[in-house]
Amino acid sequence: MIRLDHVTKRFKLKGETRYIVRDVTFTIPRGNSIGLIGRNGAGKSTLLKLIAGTIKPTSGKILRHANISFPLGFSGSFNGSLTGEQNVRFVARIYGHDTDQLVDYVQDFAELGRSYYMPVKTYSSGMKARLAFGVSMGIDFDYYLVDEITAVGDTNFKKKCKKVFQEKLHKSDIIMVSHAVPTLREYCSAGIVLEDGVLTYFPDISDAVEMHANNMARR
Amino acid sequence: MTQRYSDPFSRAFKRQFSITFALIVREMTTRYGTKFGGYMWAVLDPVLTIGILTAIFSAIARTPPLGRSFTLFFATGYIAFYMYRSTSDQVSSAVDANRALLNYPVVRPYDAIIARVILQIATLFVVNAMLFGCLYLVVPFEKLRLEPIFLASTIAIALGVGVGAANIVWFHLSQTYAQIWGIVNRPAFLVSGIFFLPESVPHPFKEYLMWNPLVHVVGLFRSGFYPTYRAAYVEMSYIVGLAIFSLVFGLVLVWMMDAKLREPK
Repeated sequence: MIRLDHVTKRFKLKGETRYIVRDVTFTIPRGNSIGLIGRNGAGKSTLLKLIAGTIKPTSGKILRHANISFPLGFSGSFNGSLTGEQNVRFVARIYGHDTDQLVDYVQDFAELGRSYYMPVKTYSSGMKARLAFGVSMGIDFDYYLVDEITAVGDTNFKKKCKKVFQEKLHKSDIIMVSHAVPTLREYCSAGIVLEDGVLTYFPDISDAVEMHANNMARR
Repeated sequence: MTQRYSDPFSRAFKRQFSITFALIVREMTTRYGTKFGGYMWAVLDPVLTIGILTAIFSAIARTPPLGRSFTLFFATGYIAFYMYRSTSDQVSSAVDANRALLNYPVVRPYDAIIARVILQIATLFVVNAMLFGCLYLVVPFEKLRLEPIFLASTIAIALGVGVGAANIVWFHLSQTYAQIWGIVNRPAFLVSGIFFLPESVPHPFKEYLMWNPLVHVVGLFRSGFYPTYRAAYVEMSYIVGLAIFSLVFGLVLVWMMDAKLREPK
């Protein structure tokens, strides 16, 4: 369970204050995979980071009674000078996971070939995404925070992702940011629409998609 | 709650240990591992500086201000300074160098500092042991007094950690400050008593010089190598107080600005 308690996050940009979330109190229940929808710049990625704990709210509290993954996104959580394999070892160590086992798992999963032993700064964004995806799938989390990352990779890799996700869904939940409606429908049962600092929860993802479409038509 | 949080204290301790360990391994692989440089530079920086100082000063003067060896005089001066300077440089860039890894919620800016400090202390220990070990073969010192040497090293490193930690925050908040800091600190090398003794500086400049804590640290460090050198000007309460103050101030500042440090500049 993840609980947001009167959470506000705002940024000051050139004297103008922008709210990502404004006094939001909300509980994300276990057992649902949630799609997070909103227009560009609404703050979806920031909300994921808030939930993960890599950024702190301006005010309010976030309670996490679960094991939550790091946000899986393009921005990358890898040290560029380390090789893919060294980065995987790092993640295994900080999460108290068996290093060799995770290294083997990711090598098999991400299919990076010899690049696995090259510095991450030489990777394409697709390769980084595969590495990030492989690492997080190799560790058991209660929640996986996924930021648009499923869009990368070729058809075979996507198939593989889908398969492993389906297995994970028995035990874990996903909170996913995506603009691709088919992807959202495929992975998520519930939806949250983020608009002007307000979160609206829908038990059915279709309703969330519909509200988002209305929002887009309105402005 | 899941059962893995059952014993919060030992769990937290274990986690802290594994995160620190992971960051140390990560620092070692990039800073000291892959290419030439790394550890080499940690040794080469003081060796070259001391070598150049020795070459220049033995050409323009006949004897150093203390003893007969220029090399020992500059080594004892520069090493004390180098311990402070390299530590503060290393610590001030600790968070930026690990920025991508802050994307893991379990890694905090603090962890990056802890890892760097541990690695830095180990590095300095090895560098000093090598340097003074080799030096001993060339110019045997009469009698070492380990107490002032150890004390001066501790103060130099504590000052370095404190100043470096505070600078993590200031550098993050202001690019201008980072530039100004670099310029203002450049002459520190000249006014820290590395190649002269403060006793030889005339009034009133000597009094000004005494405000520089590094002068005291260098003097204290040196007094351990020269049994006849008293370094009476060293004011322990001043440098110990300042070291503790800067350490606490720097670490509290990082702790308070934790959230800000995680955001991009």
